[in-house]
Amino acid sequence: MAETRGGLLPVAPDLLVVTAGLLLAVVLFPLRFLSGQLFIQVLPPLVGVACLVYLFARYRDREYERAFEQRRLGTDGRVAAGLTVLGIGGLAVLGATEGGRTVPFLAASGVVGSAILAQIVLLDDEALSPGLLLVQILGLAVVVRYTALLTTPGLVGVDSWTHLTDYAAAIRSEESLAAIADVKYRTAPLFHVLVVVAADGLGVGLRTATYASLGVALPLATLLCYATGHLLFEQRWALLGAAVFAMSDHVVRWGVHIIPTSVGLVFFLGALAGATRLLGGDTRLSSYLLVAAFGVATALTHQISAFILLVVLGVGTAVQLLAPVLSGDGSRSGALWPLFLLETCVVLGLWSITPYRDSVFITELIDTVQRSLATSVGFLNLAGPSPAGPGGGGGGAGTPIQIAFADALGFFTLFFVVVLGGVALFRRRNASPATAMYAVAAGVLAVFTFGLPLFGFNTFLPGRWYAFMYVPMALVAAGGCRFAVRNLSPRTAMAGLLMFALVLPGAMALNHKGTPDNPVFDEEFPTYAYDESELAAVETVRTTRADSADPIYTDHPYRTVFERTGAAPANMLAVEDGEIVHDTVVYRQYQSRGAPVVVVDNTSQTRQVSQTEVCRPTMHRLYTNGDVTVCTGVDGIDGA
Amino acid sequence: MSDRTVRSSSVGAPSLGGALDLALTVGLALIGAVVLSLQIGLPPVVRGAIVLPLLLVVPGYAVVAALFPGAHGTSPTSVVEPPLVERLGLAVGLSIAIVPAVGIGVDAVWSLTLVPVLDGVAAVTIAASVVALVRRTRLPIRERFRATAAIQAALRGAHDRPKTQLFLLTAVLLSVVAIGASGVVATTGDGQGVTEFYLTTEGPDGQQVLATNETVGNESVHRLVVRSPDAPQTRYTVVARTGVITTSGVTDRQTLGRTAVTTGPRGTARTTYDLALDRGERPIELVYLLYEGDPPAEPTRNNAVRWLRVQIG
Repeated sequence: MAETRGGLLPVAPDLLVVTAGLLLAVVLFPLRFLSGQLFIQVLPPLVGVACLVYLFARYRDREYERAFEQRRLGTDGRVAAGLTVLGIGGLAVLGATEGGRTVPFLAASGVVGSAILAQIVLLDDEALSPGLLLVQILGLAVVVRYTALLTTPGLVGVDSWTHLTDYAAAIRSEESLAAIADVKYRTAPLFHVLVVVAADGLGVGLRTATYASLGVALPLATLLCYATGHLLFEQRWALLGAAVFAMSDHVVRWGVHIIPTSVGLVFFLGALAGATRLLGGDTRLSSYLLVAAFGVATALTHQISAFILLVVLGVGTAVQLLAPVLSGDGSRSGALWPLFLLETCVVLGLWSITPYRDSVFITELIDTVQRSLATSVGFLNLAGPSPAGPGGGGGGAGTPIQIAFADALGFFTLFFVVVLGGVALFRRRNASPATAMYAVAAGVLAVFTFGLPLFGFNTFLPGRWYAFMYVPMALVAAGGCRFAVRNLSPRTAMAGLLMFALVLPGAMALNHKGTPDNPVFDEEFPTYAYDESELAAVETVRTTRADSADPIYTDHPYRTVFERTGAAPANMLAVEDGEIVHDTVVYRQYQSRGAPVVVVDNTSQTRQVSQTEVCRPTMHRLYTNGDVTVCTGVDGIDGA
Repeated sequence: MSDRTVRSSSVGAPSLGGALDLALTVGLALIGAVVLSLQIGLPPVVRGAIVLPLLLVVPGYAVVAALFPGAHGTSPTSVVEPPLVERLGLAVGLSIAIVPAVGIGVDAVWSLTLVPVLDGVAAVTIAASVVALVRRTRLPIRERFRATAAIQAALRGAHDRPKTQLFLLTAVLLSVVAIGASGVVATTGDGQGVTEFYLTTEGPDGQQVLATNETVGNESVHRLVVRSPDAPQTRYTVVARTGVITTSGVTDRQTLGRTAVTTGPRGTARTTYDLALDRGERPIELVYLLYEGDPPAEPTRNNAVRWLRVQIG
């Protein structure tokens, strides 16, 4: 049982990793005195505690798995499955009657999610039915996503408006990709073409076609996460990884805000499933073709997704090269380096012909990186979209710490188990090139997501990395739970796993990134969806506005709909010296009761404004539908 | 990059059961390509039943079958063959890559229209299915992937304990009905449509455009629009009131007129006020109040369903 050495290292690799983790926690701990940012406050202690738990369990050096097995439930899994399936049906009814993903709906979805995780953890091997559990996981994923999609008029999110109402609509009307010849999606049009083909095939609009096709495909992609997990672990832990992935906030986010990133995530999962096959010893040409096909598809869909896949393939290649040094037998594995090389060539080739601004994508990217390094990079320079900011996972500036913590609780819960699993997967008996790749990939993606923004480097849009990072995180977390069952006393492991099962689904459900249609803390985080009145106003402005009319001013994100649908040039409302003074303003009730983003003294921030602040009583009031009002100033009127 | 599955072995003739999935795949692809090229007016449900599998599963399934012809776990060398769940996941992922990739190819030589794309998808599906069939037949019979066997394996044990099985089936049925009904409810509007009320002026090309601060104050003719698409043939009343703006507020309020309008079949009604205002030294406030049906005796902003305001002078 005792193991102290691995590979060519003088110490066991897991001990090396846990020591590095503890050192990192100690080094990063004092940052809490320099920054109040939630992730800086919480993550270092989490890393430290998880490493200590690992060391504690490892040095007890006892095998508990059999004792834990004896405590598992031998009941018929179909009873638990039936009850949970009824819960999923009830959840759909609740969503329809509530008219969206309200707090009761999200709470209920958390309960159903906990029931699924509890089955995975508690049922004994005979009662555990992977098919039944996958049906439940997919059922919950579909109901959660479709409740948001079907109860929200228009589209959810910001970019979806551009991709559907601009790019896809142009391709459909011109019946040619030449319609997007000037934008960077000219070389990454898979999403748009698929949506157009679906719309033509189904004979419906682009929104309906997107929801009917990709709305189904995205939850189904969870099967790829399960398949990958099954190549690494036993069925139970593969199911746990798939369930955690499907319930994760950012994964839900790209299931309701359906854009090329969403499709990139599916291809990313496919490429990883193929890469795991290769690393697991399936060295047939078929496995290489699988990774190559998904790799090219990712590059043809979304630039950031392709870059993230490149990073993970690079990690896999590096892990393979270091395999003799670390641990595990990599002699049976297929080589990842040819695929890494191929993906690099494809990505660089495409980026060198991708139009972007006045140049090509690769040139602009290098310029942007250089500019960022020269201007905005500095230690703890958290200005801009930090991990806590609009692109990230925590609360925005000014968000009360309790709310920010509740919002990020799901991530913290997952992160703790991931650290535990990340270390455990380096233990010689667990280690394989594939598990090591996922453990290292989770760490490297976390560096891109949290580490670089810590230095003010946000060029790689860290907010987009979360969902991709959740793939290795979910799998490594499954490894962490397996380690707990094997190495902690049955009572401790049971308590920990139950806590995980109870907290994670509900906490993930209430995160604002997973609920852009209706965030729980709706006065702290903007709602990226609109009601019928708000969309009717946009449409009327679009169809009746004179070309010569002034640009309009309204809140963010509402302004993005005016801009991206081509209704009107739109800017953010600005509060200067306590006053809002613009020629043409659009007020909506959300500005007085939600979380509108406006410019206050040249800084964007969430701030409520009253109707009389925006549409002053002295202004012309030229349009209203009860919720939305368009006002213009009286200046410039003849005779005024 | 060796290929251990494709190797010389005892060759068995293809059986219907072993190729049922491929036959179904080819059949679905052909039905989709042929039916949609005929441009028959199909009901949306039928259209969806034909098109969605073609977009989401069929081509990817055929390609996965071609790549992995063996069955999972039937021999020591076939342990690495993907099980059914992995095949389905890969099928979905590959399908949503293949369909648009064919679209890009079609766009390069033709125009991006439905029929050539579906024809291309059908061609890819048939080609992949033929490769899959050939590769399967080169395997020993018991090592070949058989969808029917994989499904049977997945359902193994379903007949044990019939009471709990019945409970599970009932729960699934109830849940499916609940989810379907909820989908219908969620997509059905609440019947309370939006009522818009706005002022237009004549634009540079003579068309009516949303009024702006540069046009509205100069116009003596105000065109008002009531738009309520969910309420066609509904009667509204517009009340126009004026007042003089002073430093202490608005004085000399009076009603200029009332106009009854009824929305047309598309829920839109228009009315025009040709104002002959006595423009004195002080600015005038003009307020348009909208009521559903008749207005109250004392119309105000508070009792109107919508109101607009223009300042003149």
